Order: sequence, then structure tokens, then C-alpha cells
Amino acid sequence: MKLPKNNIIKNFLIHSFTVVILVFGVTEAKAQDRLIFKIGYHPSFPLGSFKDYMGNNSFRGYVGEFLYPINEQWKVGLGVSFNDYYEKHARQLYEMEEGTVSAVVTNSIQTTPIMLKASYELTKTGWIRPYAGVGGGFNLISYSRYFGEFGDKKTSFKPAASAEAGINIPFNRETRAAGISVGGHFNYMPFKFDGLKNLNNWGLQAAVYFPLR
Amino acid sequence: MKSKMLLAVVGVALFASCQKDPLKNLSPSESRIYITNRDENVDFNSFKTYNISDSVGVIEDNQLLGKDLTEFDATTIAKLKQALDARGYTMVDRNSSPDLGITVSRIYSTSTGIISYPGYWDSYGSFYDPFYWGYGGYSYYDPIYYGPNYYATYSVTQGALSVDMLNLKDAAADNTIRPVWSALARGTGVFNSSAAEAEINTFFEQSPYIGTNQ
Repeated sequence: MKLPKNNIIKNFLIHSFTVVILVFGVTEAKAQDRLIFKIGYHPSFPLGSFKDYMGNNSFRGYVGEFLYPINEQWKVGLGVSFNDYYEKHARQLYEMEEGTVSAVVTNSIQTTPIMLKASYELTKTGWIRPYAGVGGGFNLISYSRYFGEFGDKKTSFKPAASAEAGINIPFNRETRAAGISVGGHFNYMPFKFDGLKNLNNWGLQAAVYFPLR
Repeated sequence: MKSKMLLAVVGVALFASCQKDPLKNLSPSESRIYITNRDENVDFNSFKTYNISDSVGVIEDNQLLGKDLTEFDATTIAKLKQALDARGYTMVDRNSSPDLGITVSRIYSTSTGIISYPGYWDSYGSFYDPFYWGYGGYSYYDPIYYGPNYYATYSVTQGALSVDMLNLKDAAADNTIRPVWSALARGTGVFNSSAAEAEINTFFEQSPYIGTNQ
């Protein structure tokens, strides 16, 4: 029996999360004292056609990551970030199929990419340690457009990928278990709906990281 | 360890709690939308006189509950007169063969949450008896030019103010009263007396083609 597309995606996501949870369970057991939690501020700025649609940047953004160091320079893990984009346009006229509509239009978009991540520290020594990383996964998108108080909401899961670079500054040069991290990111986020082609963005992040065990 | 885990959980919970709610950032006037539509084939300069009904139809779920004249209704009718006079039309008695008939309705929907424009027009004759305009036996023309889903893209949470402009001048040509312009206001406080002037002004500002010298 052929499953509907939505069910296939849903099953894939459920299985992916199951695998991730299992992997983390095992790695936590094997890697006592090493699982790292990173949390920080994550403003993002629309790019390209997304910028044409959404004039405001997102300063309501946060990031959280669980990272497991597989050696001195590589870390892999699961990252979740959230950004809220909001723009309210002054009242203006819109020529629509329904007629001439005068409305204050509000666009509201929330992105929550959930990605498997890998990052690489370029140096093994020093107080400032540059890193670069990539991620891939799915993006939970909540989209709404309101004419006055009337609007529609759409929620969807779409693939997403990211690249990031920055510096880690460990509090302790020897243990490197905790520290601060600052950098920039680029998010590739396909999303075709209502004239939008994607939700691509770049941004900054400032985070602290520390071991959970 | 526990405190770190707690911090992690609280941090993740922050994600969901930091969204700016569009509906909570709208003033009542910003919440309102105004939709106007017209018959593209009509020259509004060809009309010179009008009459406006002296009360407002109260329609709920496509049933006429009756005619009413609240403070809001009276203000709306007065502002409509002002707007039409300003566009060069002359108010005449409805027994003096006005070119245009203006009806005002308060529409409430308590069932589906969607006001269907075709449904509204299907019963229009029962809301506004053509005899009222001196055209007993005539029918109203279903304004198909508005499209089949006039209000379908919007969900209804309150009532709507509807103003319809009817072509009485040419009604005798085919025993049909045709709407030539329609306006609708919806949103928070749409029936507040203080909002009536802004609503009527907005209707006419976005309809510059209405007037005797256009």
C-alpha cells in the first residue's frame, strides 16, 4: 500500500528522532562528562527574495545544541534554533480577486530548524579557536499572513541546511569543557508558498557552552 | 548537574515563548478591513440622484431579523449622505425615482464562520423588498462579477457592515435591480459609532470612481 507523502515524511521524522535519541543515549553512556550543551542568542536576517517579502530582521532568535566531541577537533550533535520574523505594514490598498481591500497586513513567520550538526575546530591550542560547521535536517515553519485580524496560518516541515563559522573561547584552556562561542551562520530553507520562494537567511550567534556531565 | 539540565530545558522552552503575536499587536482600527467592489461596466457619472434606506437591515445567517436604527446605524447613514453629497449626488425622496438606491446592512454569522457572498445575494430580495424602491415585482441581479468567493478567504469572528449601491435608473430595462457597488467593513469594533465615519470615509477613499464628475 502506498503511503501518502505526508505520512512518509512523518515516519521519516519519527525514525530520525528515534535514531538521534538512541545515539545520544549510547554516547551519553559512553562519554560521561563530555556531552556539551550550547545555548545562545541567534538573530537572523532575511536574504534575497525572503528579504523582499520580510523587511524586518529577526531579533527574537535562540539556539540550543547538544554536541558530542568525537575527538579534539570534531563535534557532532543535534541543534535546534528558533527565529520569529514579524512585519506589520501600514494600511494600504490591495487589488485582489475579492475586490479592492484596505488593510493593515501583518506577516509573521517562525522557523525552527532541527538539524544534525558537525563542527570542526581549526586549532587544538590557544584561547581563541576558530571553528566551522555544517548542518542538515528539517525546518518546522509556521507561516501566517493577516489582513487586519483575518488571516490564514500554514505549518509545514521542509528540508533545511546550514553552514556556520566562528570562534570558541574556552574558559579553561586545558579542559575546554565550557566557554563562549560567537559566530555567523547561513541557513538554506526552501519554502514555496504565497509568493515566497525560500526563507534563506544569515545571522549571528553568541552562545555559552558547558558540559552536561 | 540538575541545575545545568534545568537550564537546558528552560533554554529550549524559550524558543516557543518568544513570538510576537500579530493579533495582539493590532489596534481596533488596524484590525478592520474594508473591501469594495464595483461593476466595471458602469459609469458612475451617469447617476445624479440617490436615496438611502432610513434604517439598517440586520441579517443573521442569511435571515433578515428586521430593520434597526441604532446610534451606529444613524451615524453610518448620515456619513453616507455626506459622502454621496460630496461626490455630487443629490438626495431625493424614494418616491421621486432616484437613480441610485443605497442599502446598509449589519451582517452577523454565527454558524460556519464564513459569510458567503452568493448566499447573501440569494436572499437579498427578502432583505430589501424591491417594492421599497417602487419597483415591486422586480428581482435583484446576482452580482456574479464579484466572483464566486467574495469573502471566502477571510474567517468571520464578528459582524460586518455592508453597504450596497443599487442601479434603480436602469432597472426598468430588464425588470432587474443591479448592484453597481458594494462595500464591506469587518473587524474589531466595526459597529462602534465612533468608527462609522472612518469606515464610510475609507469606503469612498478607495472608490475614487464614484461621483458625478469622475
